[in-house]
Amino acid sequence: MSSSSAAQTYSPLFTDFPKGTMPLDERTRRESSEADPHIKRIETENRDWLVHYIDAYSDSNDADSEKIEKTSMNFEINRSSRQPIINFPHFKEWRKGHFVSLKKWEGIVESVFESSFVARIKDVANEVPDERVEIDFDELTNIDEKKMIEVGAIFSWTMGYHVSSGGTRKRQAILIFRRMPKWTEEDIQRGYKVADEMFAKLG
Amino acid sequence: MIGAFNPKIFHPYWMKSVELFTDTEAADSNIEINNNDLSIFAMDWMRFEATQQRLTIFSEQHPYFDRIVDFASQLFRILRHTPIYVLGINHHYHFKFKDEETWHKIGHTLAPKEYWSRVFKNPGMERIEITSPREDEYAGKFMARCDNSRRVIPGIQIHLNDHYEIGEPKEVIGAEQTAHILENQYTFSYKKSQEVVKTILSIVE
Repeated sequence: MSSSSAAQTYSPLFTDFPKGTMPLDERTRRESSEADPHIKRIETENRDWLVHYIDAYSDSNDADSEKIEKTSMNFEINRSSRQPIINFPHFKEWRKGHFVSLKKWEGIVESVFESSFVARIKDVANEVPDERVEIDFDELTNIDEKKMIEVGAIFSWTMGYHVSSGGTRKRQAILIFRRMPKWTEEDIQRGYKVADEMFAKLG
Repeated sequence: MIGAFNPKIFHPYWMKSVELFTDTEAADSNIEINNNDLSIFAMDWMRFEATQQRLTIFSEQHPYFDRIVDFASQLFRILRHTPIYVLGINHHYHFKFKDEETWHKIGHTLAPKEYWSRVFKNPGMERIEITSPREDEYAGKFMARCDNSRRVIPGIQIHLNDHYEIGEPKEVIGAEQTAHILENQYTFSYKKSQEVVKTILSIVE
């Protein structure tokens, strides 16, 4: 616990996170300034800080932000000295939302035209029979993958919706070509060897 | 993955040069740090973190899971002399329930309170972990965990760690086995995680 004449901060209630991000987990949300008027959000150069006021200031509007900031900065120095040099960013600070899949197909390209290709697609959940479809190149999620379209190429096609970290939903269809491992010279030689052995056994 | 890595090489533009990423993907990636000790970059569909001892690739974008497997296996086909000792394929699921009663049913079934009630007034399950040896030819184990979700309330998080022990550091000289496991085991691993989920959710059906 650290104290000053202007404000007092309590380590269990003291939260910091990279500038421009918001705490996501429920506990942090409850401790955040949005949920608790007794917590003030202080913005410094690299990080945002949530500082808890002492009772004397909790219902007052005359708290001195500058002094609180100095207190929190002192805290940062103390904390830094106890922490490892590299602070591994936490996954939840990076989160860009998730994807809810409604239907997924796997497809294999059968023929390629000027601006589209024909493929046989298979429902991964096996709920509907295989289908043959013509897909426009514009359906590709990454247009750079156009050069991967050739007969025999395998792709996945997923329908669903993207849910942002704030909760906004957006319908999406994601079509991505698989990067299957390429045959190495060793694999090919091994294949020949197996074929030779089978041929010898069969006479 | 746990092994001996050279973080500096894990740069999106190096990955583009060996055709692991397309031009757009390399250009869109956000490089947070890249030096001899640490490499971190992210793009819309994945986040890549590597230290000299540990490498993690994660995504919350279901359509891209296959892409990540292809990416990781090809990466270590190229860097085949990178020793990797441990591989974990981790699956996370969050489920929200319509009411607290349904949510409690999961906890009461997975961790019955018959004995806990003798010592505590209102015991509740926070987290339960189950481990099981593998049944295939690989060394390692399964670790399943069910705990309260912090993302959806009332809800649970189910996690399966499909864990492969590739070998002792002095024995492992490359990454080919890791690439092989990723290519051959990912589908099995994903189905196993779905099996765990279905089993746990059957409690409230």
